[in-house]
Amino acid sequence: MADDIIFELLHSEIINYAKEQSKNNGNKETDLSVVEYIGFAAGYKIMERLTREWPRFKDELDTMKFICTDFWTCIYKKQIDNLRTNHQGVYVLQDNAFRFLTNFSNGHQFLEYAPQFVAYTCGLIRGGLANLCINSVVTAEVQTMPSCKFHINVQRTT
Amino acid sequence: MRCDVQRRRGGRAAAAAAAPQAAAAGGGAAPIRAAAGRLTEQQGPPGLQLPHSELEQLWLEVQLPGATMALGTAYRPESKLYLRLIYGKEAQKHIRMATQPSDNTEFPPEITLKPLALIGLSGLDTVNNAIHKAIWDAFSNNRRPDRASVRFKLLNNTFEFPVVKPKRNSYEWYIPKGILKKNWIPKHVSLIPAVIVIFYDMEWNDPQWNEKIIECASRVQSIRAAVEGHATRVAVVVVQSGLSPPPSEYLLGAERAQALSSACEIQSKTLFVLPHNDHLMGYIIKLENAFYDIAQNYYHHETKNIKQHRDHLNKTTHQYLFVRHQFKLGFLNEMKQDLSTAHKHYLHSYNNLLETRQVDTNIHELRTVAGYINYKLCKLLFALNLARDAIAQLKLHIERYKSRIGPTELLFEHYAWMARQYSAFGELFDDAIRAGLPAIQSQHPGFYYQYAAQFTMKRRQAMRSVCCEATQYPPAPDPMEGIVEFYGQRPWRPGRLSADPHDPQKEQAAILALQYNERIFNHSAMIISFLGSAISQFKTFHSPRMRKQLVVEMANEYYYCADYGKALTLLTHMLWDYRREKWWFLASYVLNRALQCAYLSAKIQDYIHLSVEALSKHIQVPNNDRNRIYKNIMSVLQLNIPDPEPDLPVASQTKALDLWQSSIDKEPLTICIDMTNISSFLEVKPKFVQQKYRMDEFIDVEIYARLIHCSLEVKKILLTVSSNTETMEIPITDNGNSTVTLHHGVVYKFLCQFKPNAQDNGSDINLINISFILDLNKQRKIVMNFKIEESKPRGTCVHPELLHLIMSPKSDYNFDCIVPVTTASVMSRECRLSMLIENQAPALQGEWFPTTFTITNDENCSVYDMSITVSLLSSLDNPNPDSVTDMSLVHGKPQSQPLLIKVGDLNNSSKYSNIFYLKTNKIALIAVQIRVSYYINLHDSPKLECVRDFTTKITVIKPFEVEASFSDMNFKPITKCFLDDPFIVMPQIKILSPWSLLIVDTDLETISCCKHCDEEQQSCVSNIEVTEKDVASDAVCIVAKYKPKDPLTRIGLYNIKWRRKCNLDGPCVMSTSALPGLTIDDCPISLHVSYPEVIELQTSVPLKCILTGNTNIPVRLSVTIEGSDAYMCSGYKNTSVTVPPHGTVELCYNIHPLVTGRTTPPRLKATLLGDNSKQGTIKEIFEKNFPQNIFVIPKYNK
Amino acid sequence: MAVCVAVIGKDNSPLYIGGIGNDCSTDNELSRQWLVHTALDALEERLATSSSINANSGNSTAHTDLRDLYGYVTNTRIKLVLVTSSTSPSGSNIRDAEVRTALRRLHALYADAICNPFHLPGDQITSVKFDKQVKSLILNNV
Repeated sequence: MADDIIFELLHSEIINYAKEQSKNNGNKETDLSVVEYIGFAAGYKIMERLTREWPRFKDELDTMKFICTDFWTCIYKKQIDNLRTNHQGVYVLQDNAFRFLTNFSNGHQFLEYAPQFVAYTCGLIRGGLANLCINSVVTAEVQTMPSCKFHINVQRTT
Repeated sequence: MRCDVQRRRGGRAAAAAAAPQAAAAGGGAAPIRAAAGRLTEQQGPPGLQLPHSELEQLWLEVQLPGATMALGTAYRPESKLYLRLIYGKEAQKHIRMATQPSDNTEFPPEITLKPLALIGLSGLDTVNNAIHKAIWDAFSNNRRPDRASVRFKLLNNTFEFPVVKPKRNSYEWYIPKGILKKNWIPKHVSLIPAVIVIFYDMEWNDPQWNEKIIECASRVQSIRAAVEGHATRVAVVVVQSGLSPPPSEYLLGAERAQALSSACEIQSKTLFVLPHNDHLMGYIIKLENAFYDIAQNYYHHETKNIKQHRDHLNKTTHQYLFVRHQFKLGFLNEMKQDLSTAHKHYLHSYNNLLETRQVDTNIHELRTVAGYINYKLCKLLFALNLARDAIAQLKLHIERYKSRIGPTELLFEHYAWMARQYSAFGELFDDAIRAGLPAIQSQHPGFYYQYAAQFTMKRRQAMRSVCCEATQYPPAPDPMEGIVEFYGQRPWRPGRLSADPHDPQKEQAAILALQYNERIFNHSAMIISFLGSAISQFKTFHSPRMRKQLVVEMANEYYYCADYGKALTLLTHMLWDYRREKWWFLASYVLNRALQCAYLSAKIQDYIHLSVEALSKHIQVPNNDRNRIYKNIMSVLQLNIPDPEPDLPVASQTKALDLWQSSIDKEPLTICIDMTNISSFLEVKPKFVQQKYRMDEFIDVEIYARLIHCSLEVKKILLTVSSNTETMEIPITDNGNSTVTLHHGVVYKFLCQFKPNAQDNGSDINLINISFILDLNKQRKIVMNFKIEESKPRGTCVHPELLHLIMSPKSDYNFDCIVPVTTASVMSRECRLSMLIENQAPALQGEWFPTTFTITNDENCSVYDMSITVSLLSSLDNPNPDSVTDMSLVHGKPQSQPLLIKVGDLNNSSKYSNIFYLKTNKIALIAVQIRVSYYINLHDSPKLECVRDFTTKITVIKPFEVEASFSDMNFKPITKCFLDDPFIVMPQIKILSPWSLLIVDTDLETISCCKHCDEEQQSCVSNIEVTEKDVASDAVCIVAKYKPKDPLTRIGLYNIKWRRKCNLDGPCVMSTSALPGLTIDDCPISLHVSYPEVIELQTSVPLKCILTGNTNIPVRLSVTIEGSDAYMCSGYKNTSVTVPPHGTVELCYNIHPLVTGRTTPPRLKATLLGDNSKQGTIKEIFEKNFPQNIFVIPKYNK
Repeated sequence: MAVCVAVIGKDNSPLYIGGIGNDCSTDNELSRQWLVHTALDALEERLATSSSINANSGNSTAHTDLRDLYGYVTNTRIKLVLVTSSTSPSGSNIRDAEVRTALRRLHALYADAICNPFHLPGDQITSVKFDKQVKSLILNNV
């Protein structure tokens, strides 16, 4: 369906834009923070909508489950395939067919470009959680595309 | 009528001379203006200094009764006295507990106190008689709640009882003049005892018994006469010594008791005996309960009397009496402690009152009485644990009366009454909570105190609208003078029932008097008091915000009564919280009010604080006139008096000016403002440009500043930096100018550079503070401090990430997205040395491995005091490297770690070289750190220490692996050996080292149960060169000497002496490996078979077999030769031999091969005769020793 | 009828306080702010005591003699407060269901408002559109 692809196209154009920007600023490496910020803002704002009519989250894990199911479905039309946690604030969300990667690779080709395509989503998760009052650091790990693991490290204020 | 209590306190009563008369006049509560005036004078106005830190104390202070006593009609002082008269000590305690501010709506004590059954004690001489005193004390002291609900009163001989009113036969023409008589309750609670107890000292065996009985009877008679007309019960207590009478007199006691009760004409059950011995208290409690029963009986009788009247009443003229009688029934039941019946009657009374016609002349009486009855109802409901019903009752009560406002010129009375209803209820509620009632956040006494405060405010408002003209008290005669018989009636027209005022002129004067009194009443004090009560309640019930609001309202009240200091203190505390929660509208409101207070009290410090905060963009100022505030700040800096704030009360302005005049050029001359704690009009963010600085670099701090409003000339900007060793202030300049002018809307950036202190090497430096100093060259300065606290929580909920995408002005964005960096670390100067490391890695396990390192000085000048530290670094798989690895600067001699080398000076471009050795038995990756430190003289920093770490990693591997196998003397592999049966150990050395090695020598160190077979041991592999993947095999013949207790785990240690081939003259390395174990078995005989390996066809050869006995007993064997097709054989085919102990037997056979090739020769088989436990071993040793096959070669026929 | 509606941020700062009535004088605004601010006490108490599940996503109410306060806390810790006058002219009490609907609609409006690219979440809501929508919500529904 064409309307699904619009999001992906916009996403990849944003990445191109960010690359262009950092090239103009004379940076050797692509500065992905803008893409991450865009994700953050989107996640923050969309969370208000998604949690409407939703019962209050029991705890952090409950919130993560929401991220894995409803939140992910809303954005990527599928659920997270695996959620793991050490019960000490680290959560690993594994998507075996991450939407931004499925279209261009199935294995190791273009692996070096994978970080660009997860920055937005890292921001998205972080922003969503920030609005639910959970401060976190989110990183992603891609070994074999299109599978992707997102590591959420919750920052506890002591 | 007088009572003794009054007389005992006669000395005290002089303070209010009017009181005895008032009491004498029937316990009435006529207002006494003279007494009120005096008290006010004594107390003085409330003007205590406010403890700054403890706000609670402020509230406590205003709650104290009397402290807020002000002008106006004063009920309190009189009622306090009155209370003392009728209730004694207990009442004083009650006064102290009361939290209610007083005015004329206050409930009289007889309404608020719990009614107790009154019991009169007569015949006790407490002054002269110690026993009587003890009895009285036992009754009257320590009246805990668990004791009976009675009150004792000591009656002396002159006590007089109220005169009994003539009994009314008909109510037909009777029209009541009011609802409730003021003297009725006091009469019943303190003047008419339910029981009078006559104490009389008398022993049953008293010699003057007859006289005594007559005297006692006459006393009873006189009491009877005194209470004539009342239904008061009489009881007699005979006080006796308590020594138990002799048994012969038991009967006498009963007889005489009988006689006494008949003489006194009392029932025997109202005659008591009280022995005053050790158990006095127990008897007293028993007596008390007995009296209480009699009292209840009395009150029951009284209620019956009242009920009889009911039939005579009619609703048209006697509506008041319905109210009154039901009230009396309620009250008597309360004295009887029958609370639910009491409640029922009070409720009837209340409902009857509702049906009463209301006119302007009786409204005051109606609502006064309604208030009292409602109070009783609520109190009883709380006591019956029906708190919800109590609340509902109050709501209904308010609902019914809130619109009955009465005459408009006295509207304030209505609000005063409303306020009192709420506050009294609040107090009841509070008492109930103290007694254990649970309350919740949404329903607690605080609300009622708050309503009380609100209605008092309305009362003041009403006063302002209706009392403007009452500027003077009406001329004599004082309309307030006069005695009122009924609750709530007016002194100028007592007992008047008609709806029209009968004397309009008097009525007018009275209204004027009331209005005048209201006008001079201190409403603020009352409101503050109610608010104080409410505040502590809201605090208790988790409503901090509600509490804050009430505190602000309280501050407003202080403001209205011109106590600006207190108001200011309260407001500045509250401002903090509103600021923190960013309720800027409320914060602005509080701040503006506080600023007014600060101006009016000329508190310069607070005034400047508040003014500076008022410039913030969050604060809304009146007329949005920030320039005025800015000018005021500048005025104060110039030692000029600032302009007044708008909307100040005119009356206070002149005083404020005087205050300013006297304080404008005084302390505080330097005003410090902590800008991080307020909402600031100047924002500052500091930032270290880098996270880390080298010792030889300049530390640079960027300071960004943004001004919200106007422009500001800053005299000096100081940055405070602290490190481990020092704290320093660094002036910040704008292109060399220390005076900086800031304009709003611009983001300023200042750069501040400084050199790190040499002592701070390796530590952190922190930014502590930035001060902006305003100074107009007068004495006064304003220091705006921006403190930087690490621990300060990030209150902001705005995530900086979101800022990136907000379309805000670029300059603001540039400021907003700056993240302050307030900590940086200082490190040593980077060192310009290079290091070359040479070695032949990997190192081999066990060898002293040399590494050569060479340092080249790449600095531009020579360095001095160079020292080198060589140490091992720990890693995950090698946590304690120094325990398994030796290091040295000399080959073969371990030295303590780390290795230290003093190098001294090193010239520019020259080199220094050295070798270190290490030896380890651990197969690991060893990390070696070489730290070089030295000093250098640079032009701007002499003797600068530089440090550099170099790390090299050395892999350690095994040089070879040793495996061993075992075989018998025929080189057949074996898995076990027999005692005295030699076998061969074959170690195999597999070379792993990538470097060629020389095996110098090897030897096998056997364990004690084995020994070498050869006298002289010569290694098979000595002095051979090997390279990687070679295998060197050795063979050593050993024999087991005896059988060890435990199975062998190893046969011995195999030592290899080796060295690297390239290093031929170096010392050898000795490596040792353990060889595996072998099973050792024993056999009764040993067997040696000699036979040729190869024989010619058709040639006879001997096959000799020597049997040796190994045991101390002879061994008998049956030996059979097993023939073979390939051989002919001669000798005993079947024989039995006896092998002597440690002797030998030789068996000889001749064999003759018949075929060529690999042939199986004939074999001997032996069977042990006798003890055959070793049969298996015998079989095994025979099989092992006899050849399996012999090669037979064809015979050459030449 | 509803007299006042407020949106309170995660940190308890007021994001929006709107009320109907022609009177925009300071006193009116002041009492409205006090009212909403003190309502937070009740909300916080509820939040603290019902630590788990659903309890707070529903309504929490506090009554005074003249006003009923309804509160609603979203999953994102935004607090929505609705104040109704209990003495409505028609005399009919507002049903809980109506209040719930109104709060839900308010939440929807808020969710839209923070998607406004000119709005910074956590700042006061200054959008005129939002203000109008909220006021019409007050007037039409409750």
